[in-house]
Amino acid sequence: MIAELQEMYSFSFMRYALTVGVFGGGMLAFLGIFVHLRRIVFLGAALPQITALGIALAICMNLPPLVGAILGGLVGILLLSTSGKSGSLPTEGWVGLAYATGGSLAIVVLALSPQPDAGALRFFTGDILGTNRSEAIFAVIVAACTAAVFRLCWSKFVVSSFDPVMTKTLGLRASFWNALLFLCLGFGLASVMNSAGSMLAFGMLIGPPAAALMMFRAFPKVIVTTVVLGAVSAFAGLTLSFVFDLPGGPTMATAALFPMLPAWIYRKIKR
Amino acid sequence: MAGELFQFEKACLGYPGNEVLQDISFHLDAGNFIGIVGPNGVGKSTLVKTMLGLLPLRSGRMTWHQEHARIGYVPQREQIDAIWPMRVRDILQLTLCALHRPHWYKRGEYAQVSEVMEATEITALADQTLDTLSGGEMQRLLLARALVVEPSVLLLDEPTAAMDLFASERFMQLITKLHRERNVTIVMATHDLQALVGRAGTVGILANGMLHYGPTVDMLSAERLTNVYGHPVGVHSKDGKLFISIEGDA
Repeated sequence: MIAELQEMYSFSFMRYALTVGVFGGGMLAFLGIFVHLRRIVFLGAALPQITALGIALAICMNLPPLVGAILGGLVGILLLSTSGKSGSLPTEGWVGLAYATGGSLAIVVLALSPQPDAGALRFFTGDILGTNRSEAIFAVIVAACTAAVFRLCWSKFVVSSFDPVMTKTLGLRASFWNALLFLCLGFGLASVMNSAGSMLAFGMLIGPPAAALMMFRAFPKVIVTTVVLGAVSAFAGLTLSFVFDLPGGPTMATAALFPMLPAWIYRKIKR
Repeated sequence: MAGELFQFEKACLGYPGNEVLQDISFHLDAGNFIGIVGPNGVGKSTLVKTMLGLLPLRSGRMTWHQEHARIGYVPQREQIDAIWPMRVRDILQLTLCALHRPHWYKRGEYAQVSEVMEATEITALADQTLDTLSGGEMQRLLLARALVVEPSVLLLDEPTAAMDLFASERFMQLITKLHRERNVTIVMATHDLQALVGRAGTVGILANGMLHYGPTVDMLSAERLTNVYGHPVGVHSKDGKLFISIEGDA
């Protein structure tokens, strides 16, 4: 079996895909802890769709898809973090609009593209095997930067997310830490979306942290479990997709969601 | 701790297009315990939010006289999401870490945290997670969180709301003890008039967009409360203590 795995990962495209899956997926899974705890899961669903629209626009304008992914992610965060303040529509309404608009417009823009690219659809179907070296390196850099920022400012992120009002009364800039969290989320989504599409990005953002939060009630255990589940499910999903000739991104996303079942059973038994 | 701590001068408080409180002039001396009362929707939370700096003044002036005056805010426990996977001790340590450099979280004992947990009677709960706390325990944790930053003043927004009688009394006894032993300045918005008797030195009554304040015994008169609440309120004295009751059907 080891020999088979070695052979499988002797291909550079598999190593690049694995790198994005493990680093990008692990990072998104970690950020997903905050998405769950802050109860902004719908925002987590809408952001990949807006990022997809950014990628489609970039392809349409003959720009690198990564540029579109980053700009799409950042614009999406800016729009969604300020939505709902006008009071004309609840925040969930804006998030729903962004989800529907981003997802549908991305396909329309791509269809209207004057330079049809045979590989363009991989960003939407989640064909992670098309990942190249620079995309893999970008995912590693974003994951490393995110880890460093959170390691250095952990208490700020937790306190400002847990109780923004208290944070302001302490004289801390809650909006700054909020923006930094969303910035990490934007770059994280861009790094995974650019290679593997929205399905994997959202699967990683939701699945592993949900399983960890079902099992444990202490941050250290939740974080370790989340990141390990994210990385392992990326590896397992990619390997299975290769063996059974399945699409990489969706198989990895399914693998990322699978731990929720044993986690739910574990929670039931523990109670 | 002595002298003037806070002041409103001809301040108008509220939201764009909706001035809730007009022409408020009020000062708070260090070491005071002031209770803010009034009917629903009269502006208690608006006053607290403005003092916290969460709402801008519509007009007038607000001054914190102590430089870098730190406010300890105790919200209603419903504002806290117990889904967060944190222990009681973690909340206090993280709050402390967030204020000081470096900002990362170091495991281990923090003398300040232990001391505050003891003062707020939650030492036995240190390793419990948020979702296992009762309402009264959660409120004491929020009080401890406010105290751990060594505040100049404690602002409490209806801290005993939705608490049972015993939990509410225990919490008020704790507040009284902290006020007496630590000389902490306290501003408490509450519906519970009786809880203020014998505890708050000053009571501020919000009514018709105005704030009237003075010594507790003077402010909690039957006539004044009846006018404010629009219903007969009885105030009786027994063994030197005031008792407030609703007269007739509410």
